[in-house]
Amino acid sequence: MITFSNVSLIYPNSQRTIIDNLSFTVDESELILVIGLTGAGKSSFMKLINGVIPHHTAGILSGEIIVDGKTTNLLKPGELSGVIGIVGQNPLNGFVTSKVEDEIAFTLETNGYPPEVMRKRVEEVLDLLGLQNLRDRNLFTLSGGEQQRVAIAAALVMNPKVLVLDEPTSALDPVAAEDVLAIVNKLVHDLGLTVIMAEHKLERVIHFVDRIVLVNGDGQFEIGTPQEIMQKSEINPPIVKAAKKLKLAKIPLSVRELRRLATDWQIKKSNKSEGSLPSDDLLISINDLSLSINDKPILKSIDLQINRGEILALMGRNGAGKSTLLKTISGQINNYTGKLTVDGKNPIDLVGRELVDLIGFVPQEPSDLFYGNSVAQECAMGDLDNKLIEGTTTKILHSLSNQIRLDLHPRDLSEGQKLILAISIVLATKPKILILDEPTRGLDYQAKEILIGILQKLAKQGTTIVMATHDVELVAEFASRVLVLAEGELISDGPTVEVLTASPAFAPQMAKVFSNQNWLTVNDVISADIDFKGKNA
Amino acid sequence: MSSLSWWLWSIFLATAAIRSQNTLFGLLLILLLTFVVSKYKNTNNWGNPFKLTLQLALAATLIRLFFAVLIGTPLPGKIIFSLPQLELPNWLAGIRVGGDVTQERMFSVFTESLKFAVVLIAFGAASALSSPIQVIKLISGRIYLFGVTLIISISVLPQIVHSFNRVIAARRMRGLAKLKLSNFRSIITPVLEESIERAIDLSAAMESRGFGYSKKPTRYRPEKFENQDLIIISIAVYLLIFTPILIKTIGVFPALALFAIFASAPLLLFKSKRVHV
Repeated sequence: MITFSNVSLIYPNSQRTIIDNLSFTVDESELILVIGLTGAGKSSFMKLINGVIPHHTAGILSGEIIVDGKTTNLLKPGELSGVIGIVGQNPLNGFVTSKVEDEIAFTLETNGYPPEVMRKRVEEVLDLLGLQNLRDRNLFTLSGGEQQRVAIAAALVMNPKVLVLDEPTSALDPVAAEDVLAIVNKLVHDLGLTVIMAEHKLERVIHFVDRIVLVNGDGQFEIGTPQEIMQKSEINPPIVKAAKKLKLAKIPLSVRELRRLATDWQIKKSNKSEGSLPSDDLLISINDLSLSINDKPILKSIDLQINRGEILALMGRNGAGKSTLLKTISGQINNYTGKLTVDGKNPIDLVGRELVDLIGFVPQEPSDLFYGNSVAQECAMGDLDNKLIEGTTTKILHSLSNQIRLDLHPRDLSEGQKLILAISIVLATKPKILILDEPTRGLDYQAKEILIGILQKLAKQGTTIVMATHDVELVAEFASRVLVLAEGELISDGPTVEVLTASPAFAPQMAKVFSNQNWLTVNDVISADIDFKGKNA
Repeated sequence: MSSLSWWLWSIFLATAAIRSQNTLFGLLLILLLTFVVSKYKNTNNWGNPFKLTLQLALAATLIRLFFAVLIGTPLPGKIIFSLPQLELPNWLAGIRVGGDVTQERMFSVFTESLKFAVVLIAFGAASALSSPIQVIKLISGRIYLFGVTLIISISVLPQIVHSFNRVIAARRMRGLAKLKLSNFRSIITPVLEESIERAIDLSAAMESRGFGYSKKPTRYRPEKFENQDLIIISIAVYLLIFTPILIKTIGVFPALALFAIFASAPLLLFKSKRVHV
């Protein structure tokens, strides 16, 4: 279906080789997963397939890519729009119109299909992706999962042979992500589509992909079955990590496979370390807090007490009100009813130094905080703005990570590095509370591990952490308490183990495998005494 | 009514009101447009362009009136009130700062600003009534780069407003409370960077989806150009041509009444609120 022959790619004004002499073939109706650290070149690789690179975005390409018998050297992306459907990382950025139906019909219109054919195709695709009751909606008012489904529908309407998806679930809650991935699986199996997909959350996809392309970052690619690549690669989902640490002969890919292996095991003793109990020193107190935006209720009568030293994870679907609650706590929203005090004060009254001494807020887009020309300047301005001793922010940055080059422009950092820089700026004033909105969005495994390390260290020093996240594995790793919001209501509040194991949507992989233990993380599993011969012995 | 008809209708009526050389026509048209917009507004549009242009027009009129009070050429006429006048050197004769404010002067400035306001508000009304994407589609198939640029600029606007708000909030959380002109850069830089990123993403997406490749793009649900559209546009054209003549022949108030009736044609021809495509 797709043949890469001796493909190399570099960008002008850059020393780095993105792709070095790559040759391989994607077969008809194959599901290929592309993995690699952020910035390794996954997106570049995906954009080559329909020729956006080099026809639209500059890039120097040698070799040839043939898709369905057509070479991309000679054809422009628009001429391949009937063969390849492409869905970008952020679907909202690629929407041309404002209505669901119009968006789906757009490619048909530009290709000059007659109206009768269009009507039929649009209906078919609406049915296929379950978008019938959203057809008249404005794209901006849809949830993240719905937007992603519309973007896929708009790509499928041309009946393409190849579908390219760049991190389709990175902004989605676990349930919406499952929806989208189930659709991808259906497309491959029922329609025989060839799908090429990049994805960071391997645990969601690895069990149903055919082959994995591992982008190493130095221009080299490794291609093989999931088993082979998982053996070689450092990028592993929890199941594979556990299997490797336990030195199992066969690497399981799904909860099912590991669970079947584990039926024979005898668990002698669980050595799960119990987290220290938080103090009973009340820090944030919320009583009967409600909030409406444009007459739409976003938060409904929230009651919540947070003690000093707690690590709180806020979970729930997209649009459940997580970000709004965080913004309210940090004093960015003032039209609520009810009572809110943070450390005895109302956060809205705080400005400047008073505010940043109490609350450190890392927004969903860390780059909102940046305005310097370089990392060094950014740190210097952080010191200047809050009248700190020169070098405070830089020192914190170095203690968090020594990988970040100070002369780079903040925009050129990887997602993980941007987050670390934002955290350093925020931590410079030593806030009592650190609030993070979706910190793991767009982070690869490596960056996530660094983040977890940083947050654990902060928690030990007594910083209270409140974060909104979809990432159950992150929550399992170190949160002490979990809240679940649904439609603006607090529906669940309790210790991490209790909340996460109560619902299959939120359960981490290890909890699903060892459902009779209260284990959540790979560490819980490997620290336990397990007799692998177990019952058979 | 199709998007194109709304645009033609508002442009023709605005021209007619200006050609009448009479403030009453302008004021009447503004009232009428406000009513029509409240009734037929395209709910799929982002934001409220009409409200924005109303505010802009009001602000522009007030600023002009303010300066008319303060500065101007001395016009003889009925004096409303007097301000202390600044003595200017001889070579600046013909200009006053402060001094007598006359009714004639205020009225002529008001008439002038009303013309500007009518054009602005008609523009706002047309964008609130129509779907900008539909209008662009009419032109864009023919001039490729023009179409890409227009679509990008229209769809990047909401995102700019959105990221602007986000960045302001983020600034506060960085401890920067006061908004000074000197650190304006800290807002503009992230907003612009994000807009450029979005514009590049969007143009790549349009390229991948074959925008501009086909010589004859088709319409999924073409906006029908019906008889009503034709009638309404014709009426607007007639008003454009005949308003000044009517004023001369039958007098201002009968002409105003006729203008009001004929300009309300869309209200009479389309009874129910329409959902725009």
